[in-house]
Amino acid sequence: MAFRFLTIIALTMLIAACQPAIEVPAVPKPDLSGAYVEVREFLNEKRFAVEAAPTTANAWGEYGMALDAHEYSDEAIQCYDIAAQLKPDQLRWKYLLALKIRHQTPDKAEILLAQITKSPKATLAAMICHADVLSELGRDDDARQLLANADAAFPGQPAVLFRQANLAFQEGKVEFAREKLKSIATDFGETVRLQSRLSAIGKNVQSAPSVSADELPGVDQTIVDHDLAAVLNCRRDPLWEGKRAADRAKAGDQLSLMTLATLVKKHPELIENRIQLAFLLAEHGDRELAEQMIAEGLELTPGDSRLLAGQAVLAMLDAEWTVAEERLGRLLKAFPDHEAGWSDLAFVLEQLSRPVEAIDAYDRAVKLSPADGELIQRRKTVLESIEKGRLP
Amino acid sequence: MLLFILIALTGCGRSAPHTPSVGKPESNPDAPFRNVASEWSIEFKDQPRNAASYHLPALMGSGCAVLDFDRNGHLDLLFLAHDSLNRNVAFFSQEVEGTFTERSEKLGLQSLSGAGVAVGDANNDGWPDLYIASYGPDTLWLNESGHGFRNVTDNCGISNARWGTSACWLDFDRDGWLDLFVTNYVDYEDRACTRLGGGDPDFCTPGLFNRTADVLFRNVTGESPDGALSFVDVSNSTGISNGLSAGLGVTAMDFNGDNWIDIYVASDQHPNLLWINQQGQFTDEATIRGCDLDFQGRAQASMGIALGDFSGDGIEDLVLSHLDGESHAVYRRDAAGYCRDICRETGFATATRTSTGFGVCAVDFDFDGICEVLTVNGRVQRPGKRPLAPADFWKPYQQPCQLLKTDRRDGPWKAYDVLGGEPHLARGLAIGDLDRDGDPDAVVSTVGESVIVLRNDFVSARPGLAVRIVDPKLSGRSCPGAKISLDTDDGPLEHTFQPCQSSMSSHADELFLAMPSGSATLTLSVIWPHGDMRPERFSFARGNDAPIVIERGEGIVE
Repeated sequence: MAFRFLTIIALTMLIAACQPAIEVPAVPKPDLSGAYVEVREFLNEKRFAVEAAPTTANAWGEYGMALDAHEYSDEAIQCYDIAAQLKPDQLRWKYLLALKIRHQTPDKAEILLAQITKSPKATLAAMICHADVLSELGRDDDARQLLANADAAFPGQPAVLFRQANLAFQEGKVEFAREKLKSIATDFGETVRLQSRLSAIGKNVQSAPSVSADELPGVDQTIVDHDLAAVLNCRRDPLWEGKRAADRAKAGDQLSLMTLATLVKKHPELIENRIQLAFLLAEHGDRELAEQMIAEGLELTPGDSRLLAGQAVLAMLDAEWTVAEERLGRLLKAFPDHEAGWSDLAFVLEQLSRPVEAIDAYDRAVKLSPADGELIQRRKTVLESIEKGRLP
Repeated sequence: MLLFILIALTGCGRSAPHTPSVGKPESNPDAPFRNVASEWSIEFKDQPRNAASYHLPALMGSGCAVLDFDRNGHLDLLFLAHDSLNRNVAFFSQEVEGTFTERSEKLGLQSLSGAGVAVGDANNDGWPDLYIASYGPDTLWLNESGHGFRNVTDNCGISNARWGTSACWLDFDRDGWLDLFVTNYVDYEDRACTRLGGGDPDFCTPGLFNRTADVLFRNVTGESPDGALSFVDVSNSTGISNGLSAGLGVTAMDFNGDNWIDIYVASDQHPNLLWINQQGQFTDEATIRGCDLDFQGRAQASMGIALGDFSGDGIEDLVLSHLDGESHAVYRRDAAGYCRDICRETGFATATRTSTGFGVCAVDFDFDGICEVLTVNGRVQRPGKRPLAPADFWKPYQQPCQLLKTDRRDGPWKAYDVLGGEPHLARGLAIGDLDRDGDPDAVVSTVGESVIVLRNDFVSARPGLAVRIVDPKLSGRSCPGAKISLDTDDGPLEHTFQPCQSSMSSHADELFLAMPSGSATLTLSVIWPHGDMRPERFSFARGNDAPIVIERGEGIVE
């Protein structure tokens, strides 16, 4: 019995010795008076969990993620910091903390990231973030080494290869940069831009990139970041919930349509949800209710361009071209630089067999969005049809 | 000799050793500026109406200009606002040295409002005119021989309904008439934003709105049969409308050494644009020339632009001010016009990371032969809660202005707080020798507080001088875009004479140069932005504190 008692004491002491001796501060409590009720409830729930177990790293970290997801950054930083101190071997809290502080205090973020990237569990996202911070701090050699490690661990990853190419280019190693870029199978905004720079070297090239870099995805979209995804999963704001409900409804979940309708009723000021609901109702054949949704929105926020454009799209969905033209006219009168409005009007005018006016509308749209290849192609098609006499 | 080289290589200063006429430096001895706005009776406050409606133009503020509108030798000041509770314009004329009088109404400017100002002589009569870029329609104001200004927008072919922020006078076709480039900001729709969780509203990030195309107006007054002031929008025919920007700053200089003036646009949260002038046609070459993104290949929130040599190689580079969390970019330019962002090597990365910079200038304030960089700051999003008292509405957005200094031509630059670290919500910045004591002073436009006038109280290390670059055949008007090359033992040192830099603002049409050590004369050559491209050489000695006027045709053509 005495032996068991001593063992328990010894184990307790061991556990206590393993726990970092940190003084847990007061739990951050942001002013939630104006926050959405769903957010307030969720954050309070997470805060209560911390208050119930103030020495639990996960409680702090999860509260931090909930705060982070709703842009309470200062409070999130405090929570991540405590979580990282309470459980130093859990990399997620250090990583999320580093992400929050990297732009303002990259030197502090670097210390955290170094601890993560030394671990065999280091994620690609953490390695890339660390390499970027090292580069910001002027430690290009360290960044290069880390990227080499990342390349070995995650071969062919475009975000790594681009960074290697860019670092090499900055250093004047043009051939190495070219090789790295060549090894990226798909075009990305950054890779096309760097390729253009490399092409210009020594050739006095005087042309912009052949592919518009702005239209391409960013190279970092190829990084799967489970930690950031976990933060995103903490979002409870009605705009996000509305988007998720709309996505589920599009996939055939009827209950989600109800959820979206409830959200619109609860938060009538959120125009994006209202428009999503209107479009879904129209898709389900309830045009009248869809129109009503938009009309109510315009009563609440008269002249909102999104609602005016949505109203026109509803008419377009039902091929009511004259109504659509009238609605687009109203939109463009209020917002003469509305590129999508001009583009839609051009399409509507095509349907109304008024190609010359459609070309004018395309011209306005192209002027506002000169890099839009699809728009240019559509204009060209109409023009060719006119020239071939297929259209009046 | 070494001192001569050092001064001449960097030479962006002017001064005679002087003692400040009033007072002593009262703040940081490393940034000895004194706010003399009240002392000089320069009072203007952009106090946005309905601040709590979070209308983005209110936060972005307006610029300022330093000009000698009546050509009396004393510099005058223009401040703007967009929709202020008080008034939207103040024009302080300096009739007698040191005495500023607000005369906007007398000069016919009482209806003026706007964001950015560009000063240039539109009709070659020798009197500087005003282009006002605005959230509403832009306006052009003709200077009536120093007696006042007249709004001539409706009759001269100028029309820009987008949100114009910065504008620049330049002679892009070298015909002797100043053309006009206007950079537009975003296609803004009036609304407030909240954090994702809801709560207190704040200003929206411009990233939510689409970029817009910029505008180039060609001055065709010379082709007009009756000589009436006329412009034609050539944005489409010249290629300018092929690019999009969320522009906040613009400058015009010969970027690639072909003597045709190119245009550089600082774009907020999007790649910057560099319009290379191919004898009247423009192509955006920012990407291939490496001045579109930062050194890691990311677009930044570019606000203001300053020209100066930050690498010590005699070639003019660019500094761009940026959002906090980013660093100012320092684009080192090589002789062929290709760039590399050296913000880390020059120390700008560390020095500017925590400030949101708008107006920025590179001037040798202390005449040690090396440019300082003055950057005026103010946040675009509120950290923390909205203050309870309406009077404190703008306080959370305030940040100190900074001066970046170095002892070496290639840095590293270190940042020092100006005015003892006093926080301000500053936007525009313009330079000129306001008190004619021989050194450059600065004026700063603000939001929600009185404007700032920074009198330069540095003790000058060397003599310097200000030069004006004019063409007597064009009524003695200034020639923005003129390329200056100073002779040094290490080869030429470039300067562009260009008042349109910074953000939404216009510097005085004076270029500040340090005198070489041990020499009473300064020799330079000028390539004029119009007419003959051959350099014209000038040699001159420093006189009194008044600017030296370099006149086209009075030098020796090489």
